[in-house]
Amino acid sequence: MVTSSMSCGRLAGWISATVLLQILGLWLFVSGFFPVKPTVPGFSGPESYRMPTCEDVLVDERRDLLPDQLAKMYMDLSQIPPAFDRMILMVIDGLPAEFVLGKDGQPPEKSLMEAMPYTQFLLSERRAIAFHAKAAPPTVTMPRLKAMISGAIGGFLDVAFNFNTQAFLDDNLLDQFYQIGWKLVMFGDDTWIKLFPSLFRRYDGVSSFYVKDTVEVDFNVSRHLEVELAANDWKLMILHYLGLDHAGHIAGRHSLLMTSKLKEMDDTIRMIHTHNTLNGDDDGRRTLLVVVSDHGMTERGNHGGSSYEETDSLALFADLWSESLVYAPNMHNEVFQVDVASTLALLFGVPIPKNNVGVLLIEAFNSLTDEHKLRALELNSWQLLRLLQVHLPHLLCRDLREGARSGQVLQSNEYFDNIEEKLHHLYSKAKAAHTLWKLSERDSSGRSENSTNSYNAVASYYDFLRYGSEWLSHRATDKPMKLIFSGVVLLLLSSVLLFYLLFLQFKDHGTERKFGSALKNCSYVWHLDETFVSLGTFLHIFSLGASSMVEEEQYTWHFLSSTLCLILFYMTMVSFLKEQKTVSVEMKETKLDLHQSQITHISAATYTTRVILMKPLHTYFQKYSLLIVLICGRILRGWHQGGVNWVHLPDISKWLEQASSSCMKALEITSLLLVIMLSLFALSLLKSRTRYVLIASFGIVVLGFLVLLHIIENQPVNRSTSIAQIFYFNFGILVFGTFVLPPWILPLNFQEHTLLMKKSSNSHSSAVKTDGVLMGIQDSLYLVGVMYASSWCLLQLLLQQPVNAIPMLLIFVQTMACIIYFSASGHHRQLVEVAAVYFLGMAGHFYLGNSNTLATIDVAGAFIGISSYSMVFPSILMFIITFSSPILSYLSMLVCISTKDIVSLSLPERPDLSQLLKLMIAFPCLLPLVLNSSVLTTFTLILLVMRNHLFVWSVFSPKYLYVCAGTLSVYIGLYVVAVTVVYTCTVFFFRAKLLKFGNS
Amino acid sequence: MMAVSEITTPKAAALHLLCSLSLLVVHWVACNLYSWSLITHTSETLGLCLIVHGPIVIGVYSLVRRDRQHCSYWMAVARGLLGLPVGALVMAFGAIVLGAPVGIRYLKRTAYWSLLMSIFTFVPPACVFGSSRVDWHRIFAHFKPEESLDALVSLPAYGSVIGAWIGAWPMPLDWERPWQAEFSCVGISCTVLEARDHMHHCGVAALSFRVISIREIRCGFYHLRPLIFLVQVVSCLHHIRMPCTFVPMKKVNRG
Repeated sequence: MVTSSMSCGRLAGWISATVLLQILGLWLFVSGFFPVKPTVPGFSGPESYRMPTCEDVLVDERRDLLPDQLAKMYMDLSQIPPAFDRMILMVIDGLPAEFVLGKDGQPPEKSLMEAMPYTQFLLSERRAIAFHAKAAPPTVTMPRLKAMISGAIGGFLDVAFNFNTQAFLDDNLLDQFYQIGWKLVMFGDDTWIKLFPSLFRRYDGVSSFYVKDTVEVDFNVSRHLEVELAANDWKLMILHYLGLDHAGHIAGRHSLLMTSKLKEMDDTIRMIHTHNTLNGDDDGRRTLLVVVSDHGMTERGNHGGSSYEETDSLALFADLWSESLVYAPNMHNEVFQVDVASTLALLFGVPIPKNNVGVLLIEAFNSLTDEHKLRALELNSWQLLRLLQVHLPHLLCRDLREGARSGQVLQSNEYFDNIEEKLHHLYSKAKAAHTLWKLSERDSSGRSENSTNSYNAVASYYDFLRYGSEWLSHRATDKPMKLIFSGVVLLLLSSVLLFYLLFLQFKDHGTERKFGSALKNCSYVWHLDETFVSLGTFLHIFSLGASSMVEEEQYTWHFLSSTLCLILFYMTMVSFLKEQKTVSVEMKETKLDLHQSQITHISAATYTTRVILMKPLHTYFQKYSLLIVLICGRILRGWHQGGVNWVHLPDISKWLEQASSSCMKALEITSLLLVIMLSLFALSLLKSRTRYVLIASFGIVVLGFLVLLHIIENQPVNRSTSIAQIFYFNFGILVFGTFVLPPWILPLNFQEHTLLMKKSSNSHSSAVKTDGVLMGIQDSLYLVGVMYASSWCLLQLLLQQPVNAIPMLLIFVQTMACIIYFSASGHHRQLVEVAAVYFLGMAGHFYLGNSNTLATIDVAGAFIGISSYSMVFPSILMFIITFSSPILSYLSMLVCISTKDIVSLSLPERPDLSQLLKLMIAFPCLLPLVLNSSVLTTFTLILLVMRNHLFVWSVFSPKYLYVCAGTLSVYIGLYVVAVTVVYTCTVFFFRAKLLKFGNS
Repeated sequence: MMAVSEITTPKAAALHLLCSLSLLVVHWVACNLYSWSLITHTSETLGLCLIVHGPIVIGVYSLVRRDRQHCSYWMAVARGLLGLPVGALVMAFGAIVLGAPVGIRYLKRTAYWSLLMSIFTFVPPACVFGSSRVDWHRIFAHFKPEESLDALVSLPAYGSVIGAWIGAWPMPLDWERPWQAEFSCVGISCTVLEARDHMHHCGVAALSFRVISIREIRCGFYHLRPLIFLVQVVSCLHHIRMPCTFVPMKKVNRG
């Protein structure tokens, strides 16, 4: 009957091979798409004023220094007199440098020139210098601000691994300033406050949420100016204007709004520039005005990608004190945004941040002498060398000083293929040129020669700095396409293989189904559910291409799962209509059919008896269990207003949070009791001996009691760890016990069945024995599955937020009701059954308040019962909390498997272990893998296509992390299922064999 | 079984024409006389639809009732009126389960919509077949109708259910940009296109369903979202960056 084209072992081998292939492909893609650049931890200190050596020893010498002493020490060490004392950093969000500087050597359009008269005046009078500062993608505000103040180009994963704190922890200018005792004030975009929650003495953050508002956001910044400019206490003032960016978003790059906004910005610059207190006060305190933009904008006013319009941001330096021509005439310099960091660090005499890849802008140092300029370049080179050393550990172990000795380095200009050699050569050359300049300076022979030497030194320093900087920044931003594409190809390959395996299973199953189909001929409605499963999967995958649909994915899942349930309900109603019509006739037919089929008449007879016995119960269950699933689903949907854009709408959880805590506690306890009762009820359904069931029930009750203790004792401030730890311990023992013991303990079910068989026909004993084994396996799997699912739920009740207690209960009820429905109805293929459980699991993931942003991850719950800080356990707990519902659905596949009538359906007289296993777990394991891999592969492709999309970092990449973690949950859940089933079956067959030997 | 063809083709065509015409009239009246639309005056438009379309459907389908010997015309009308609230309950259950908002505020809309859907789906078979279980089973279990009378009853019902389902597909876009508004015109013409053949209820059902079910997520109210969705996805895939145009809402996501 079963024409097994592929044995169970081979199938398992193939599946594991494809899974491994998938993991490999995923790893390749992730490591290619999210490059993790090695960052140097810690903050730069006095060591940055020393030449780096081969073995750099990090000694923190600042520890016991007061801010003033530290500032003094930095000044002494750097040997550069600080050019300025105070700084105003004015960030104009989204201002393209083209508006101020023009493009390709051409001045900007006349209207734009006229919109910013004062800025243009400053530039033409050479009292300010401006650059096209090329920003690195993603051109959105937060990463760009980070780049400007740390000089580093960050990757996506450092944000993701930062759990959900957005605070900036790497070395950066603001922290450096703060350490030398500066007072910082900030007005404008609240991104700054997110980055530095405790740094600013005074601040007023404005949110950029209401994009339509272009006036208020800027007024809220400017209204502080009058007071703050007169104030004397701050050393750094940050002004972040959002209005221009908003204007761009509303009406594009060339709108009328833009001109008026530019005018407003120009007025602000004029106000600052002409303000009395800043124009060099009595103490000779000088203020530097830095006007920067974080990114540019496209023609339509958007940003995020890497086109020239978006990356073309501005960096303008204006010396407020000097009246004369300070700066060189504007040369339309193209520099990089990260250069701002090192420039400001050197201008204000703090160490350059450790991860800086920028190069100082020598034009901004015009007020300094040659000696100081070269010293600044030297300091920058040392910092860069330190960073390069992290990537190329042997770089500094060559004798760098050899260059200083030999003059020929200056001339040699050969081609280097080794990056290390090239860097080494460039640095030696710069070093030599610097020494040469020093010598000639000491001789002070001729001014002209001296200036040539200095020019040479600057140029060769620049050669080195630019080369090193570009090499470093390419390492951070370049996506190795080879890696990415090989990853994608592997993922595609594994998906295709999985589909093929599923198809093979289908073919096998199709032949097996023939007998099953004889049981109930629902020929017409049959395929509606299957069609919908494939259509729904396809639609879901398709919907992931749109950013809004990704953000609001919970609607899609709810819609799909409830539609599937409605379709099942519809089919039930149709068959109900029909059954009423011909109920007696059908019964007879069924019996007739069964008795006609010769091969499996024994098992079929068992089935018939079962059907007759269970019939009323089944129809009763069937109708109402689906209604329960549907109603629970609707309540769950109203529980959390998930997603991103409509989170503020009212929902049950918000309403509950306003209610008293005792009410919440009561709900928690109620749901706990209901979960316990439900699992006890599920256990009591087991037909075999009750003694073992009693032990299992006792375990559940103990776990429940611990959770109850935890809920009662739980104070919001001081969470008790001991109860949680006891719970984890008991949970571990119980789960391990239920995995190991039941197959050995549960009876093989001989007696009752021989009785039953005698009634129906004179069977030969071997078939009965197999039957007994199968019944035992089913019972055992049922027991294990229910235990897994209910202890998992109890674990969730412990870990989840109190507000999620009822949803957890409802999800449990839903899953159980769904399984009861499928166990009662015969006319669905296993495909639909597994898919429905999978759909419910995915919908439940969102019902629990999860979304596709990293912000909804419950970090607080991850520290329950953890006494010492470590990264591993909280991460595991976080994973358990986040993917509770999908994993629950995979675990309850065990119950699904056990309630299938494998006894009666399509088994040969003597099924061997391999065939049985294949029949049991091929579909439940393969189908979730296929569904998940189709999502994974498609979303990988989408991410690849969308890599320049505005939301690639805020929407698509977080979702990708969720998809990856979801894949992991599929692997874990299915692995548990497969191992349990294989173990149980093996043990039972072993026991049957033992029994046989014992008898003979 | 009954005779194969109880209804002639012209008769069937006339019936469809009448039903479609009544819907068009409602649309015209709502648009031009009251300047209502489903978006701004949801319950009013749905109510108007009910008042005009309901009697016509009940009256016309009662004319083609199956067992004319045993059942008078008024009997069929009464059956239809009885089927109306029953069907409405079923439809309301479906809508709420799929995500239509629950609450006093939405009660009127949900009620009107489910009554309308009931007229599209439940009332015709109730008028034609009464409570004959065999006929109901045949109608519901078989997608391919064998008799013309079955087709007359079942195809519009399936059309409206499928159309309503498509219309209810969650589309959480933020409609900020003019190009998205332009699609509403395309949507209307598509509705007209859909009104051909037996699917004449589909469009309206889709429209009406959309209105109540997605109201919750604020965005709703645009015609034929499925099409827009398709365009959006296609444009995403082709990397035209069309979705960028409505981004401002979401600038929160920077960083």
